[in-house]
Amino acid sequence: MTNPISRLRAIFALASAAALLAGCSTTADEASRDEHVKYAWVVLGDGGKPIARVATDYATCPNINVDDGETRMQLRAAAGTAAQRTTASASADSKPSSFPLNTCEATLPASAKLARVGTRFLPLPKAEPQRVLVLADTGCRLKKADNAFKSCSDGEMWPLAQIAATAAAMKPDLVLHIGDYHYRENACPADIAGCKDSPWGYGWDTWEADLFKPAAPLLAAAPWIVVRGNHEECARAGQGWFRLLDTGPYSAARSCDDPVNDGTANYTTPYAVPLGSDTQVIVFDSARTGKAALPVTDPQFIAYQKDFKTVATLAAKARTTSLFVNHHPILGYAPVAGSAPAGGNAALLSVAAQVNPSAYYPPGIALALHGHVHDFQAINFSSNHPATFVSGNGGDNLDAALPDPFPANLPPAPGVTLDRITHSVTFGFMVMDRSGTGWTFKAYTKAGKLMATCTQSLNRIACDKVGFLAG
Amino acid sequence: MPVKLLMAGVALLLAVSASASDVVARIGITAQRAAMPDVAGPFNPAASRAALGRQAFFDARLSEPAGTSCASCHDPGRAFSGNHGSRLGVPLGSRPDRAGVRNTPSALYAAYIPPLFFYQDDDAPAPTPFGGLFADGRADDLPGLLRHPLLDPNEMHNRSLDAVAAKLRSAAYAEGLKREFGPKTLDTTIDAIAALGKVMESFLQSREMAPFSSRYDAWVQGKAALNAQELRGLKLFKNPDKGNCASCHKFNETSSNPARSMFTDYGFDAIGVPRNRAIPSTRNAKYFDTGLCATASANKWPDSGQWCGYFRTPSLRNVAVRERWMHNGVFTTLRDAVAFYATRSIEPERWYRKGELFDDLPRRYRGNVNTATLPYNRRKGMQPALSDAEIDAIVAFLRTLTDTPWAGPR
Repeated sequence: MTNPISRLRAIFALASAAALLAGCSTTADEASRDEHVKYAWVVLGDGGKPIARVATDYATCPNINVDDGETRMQLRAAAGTAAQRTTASASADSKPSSFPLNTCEATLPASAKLARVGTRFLPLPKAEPQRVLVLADTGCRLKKADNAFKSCSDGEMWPLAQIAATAAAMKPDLVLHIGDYHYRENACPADIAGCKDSPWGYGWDTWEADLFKPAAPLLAAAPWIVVRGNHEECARAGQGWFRLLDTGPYSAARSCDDPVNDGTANYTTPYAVPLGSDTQVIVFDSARTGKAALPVTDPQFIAYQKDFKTVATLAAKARTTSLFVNHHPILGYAPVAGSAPAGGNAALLSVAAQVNPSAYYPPGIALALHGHVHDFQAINFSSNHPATFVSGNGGDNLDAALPDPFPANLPPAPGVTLDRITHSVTFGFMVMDRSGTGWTFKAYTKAGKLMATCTQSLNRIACDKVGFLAG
Repeated sequence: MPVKLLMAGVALLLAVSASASDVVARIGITAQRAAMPDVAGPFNPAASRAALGRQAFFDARLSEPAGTSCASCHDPGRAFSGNHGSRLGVPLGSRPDRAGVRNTPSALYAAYIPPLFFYQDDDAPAPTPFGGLFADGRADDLPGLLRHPLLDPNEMHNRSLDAVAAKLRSAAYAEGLKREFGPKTLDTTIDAIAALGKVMESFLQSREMAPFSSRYDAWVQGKAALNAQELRGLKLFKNPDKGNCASCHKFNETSSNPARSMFTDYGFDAIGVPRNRAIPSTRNAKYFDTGLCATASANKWPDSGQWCGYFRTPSLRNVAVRERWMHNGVFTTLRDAVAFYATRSIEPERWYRKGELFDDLPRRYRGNVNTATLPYNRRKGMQPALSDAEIDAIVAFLRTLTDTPWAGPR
């Protein structure tokens, strides 16, 4: 049976076709014409607030039609090029970040049934999402310091477009991206055809090449919950992060344009995005975390301490399963060739252990989801700690595998007892499917081959396979 | 690249000014660099110096007793690798009853090897070492390298550098050295050895020693074709789910600069090759060549033992021409070398005596062996990442890396 939204879309499509046949635009508003609106997407902010965004080359923001009403979108970030700031690269390998498109936005009512900009329909959140697509670490690495210049046009080497197409075909209700969208930091050397003419730096062109173009099917398929990775800290792609993805208000202080503001702009107060009436995702910004444990007097310790307390408040919501989501694994592993795997991020652990001694997470956190390590991990603990997923195999170079069999008595953090771990290092993504009162987590290869299925029960998961999974 | 933690190493990191150079810290006495070095070359050595270096390279008077030159082991007939007539997997020395302990690496492309350094990508948990001459990275330059084979009793067996300098003074190319470096250049040992190092460096930088003339190079330039099996092998070599060879043996087939296709990242890895019991030294059951950890100790790296078993990833250019494979020369065919990666832990009985994994390392260091990187992360009972046909394809691709002078039927 055709649902009402599909019927509305069909009617609109017929009307659009008729208008085109008549040689007319579908809208009299020049700003709303499709040729100006280059990309349109929806991110979910605090409380699940849907925010429609567009990138447009027109001076005025377009109108957005929501159900029966039309309003003009608000300018979020005007096109422009901020003065060169310090970056993670040498000054000779940096340039000012140019954003020639305006970013416009409109907060949508949670009850919205249909939203459209020009002829482009926007994906809207469902009251009870059934399927969430999870991915992370998706860009194409061009980094001079690493001498790493990936062949971005080679789908075998950088499969984000394939992943996005495969995942979009699974018709997710939401997409959860756990950080590291942007990797094209430095210019492709003239002698390398594989990345020839790729944009570089931190401007719009790199964001388009690394995310908006290859992930277009997924951006059209569902609203996104966006989590910030270390590649989006202020000295890297932070400027684009705030213009395009961050769900808070845009301001000079929160733009990463001026390094003087990095001390605050590299942090975001955690917020919750509901997944229906019984589950919520708590988004935590760890973009700037380091690798070493933090002294309690360190400003970063203090910032994360405050954030973990906010997480506790959010996770205290009654009758709600809370999924903690940040980029850097906390109770996960990082493979180390020729040695035992490293545990979770030491800086975050040092704060988590102080705020929630021995538990690391506050009560109410059922599961944790991360990226950063370029593999898939599904970890269950026999101690009372939230099961953990890592889904960082979305396109950048893969890491080494975790050992198989996994070493006994190797906790990701003191006081944690590993029960079982399932892991893989092939390109792919994860899907969360609602299953009764909980969720089922499925790991897929880039081509859509199911590798493992894990079912959730409170803060535990049970996977149908254990140990290393070949791709 | 293999990633290795520097246990307890933080205290020894001595920060230095990043503005003065790209050195951001020191681990022991080894520099940690802010960036990987740019691609080396092309070199343009003075022809006169390269010619002198070539003469020295082939000078059989430089051993004790005379008769063994650099070229005796770095055999021009085998792409400057070889084992001086030995069938042990390691070369014979200037005294025929003595043999070395490592397979002779090719001297081709040696000029492209950077000095030893550490680098840490921001996503990596710890800095890792790269570069340095020899499989254990212990020398940073040619003058530093030369003393080892010249003085090693198992190699050229000179009593001292003074003895080598004396031979240089009476060499056919002595006048040439004086012309290049001054009439007194051979007067002192230190100057004479330095001059030898410089001309040898020029020779290694010469086109003869870095020809980039393989079918692979021609294919990259659009001047030759690879057949279907070779192309399949290339894909398998790159595929992170299959050979994953390119994770260490880096190359870029889209680059017109052949130096981006050195088929190594100059990093170190512990792959746990089987013990070569033909090497005379191994008659002593307690003898082990533990590779990088000796360099780590000499360079005052913290916990040097964690690097035992690590050897620098060699270039695969001309790999098909080698007489033996792996640092200890344990394999007699290239196919075995490739198959080893795919089945090391799945079929240990095939590779190790009594199936005892990593038997060329002391037990206490066997945990250093990389069991994480594909394809050698598999355990017994699992399917190997590569089938026999896929191994054959990778071998076929590797044969395309042979430079023209050695590309004929063998």
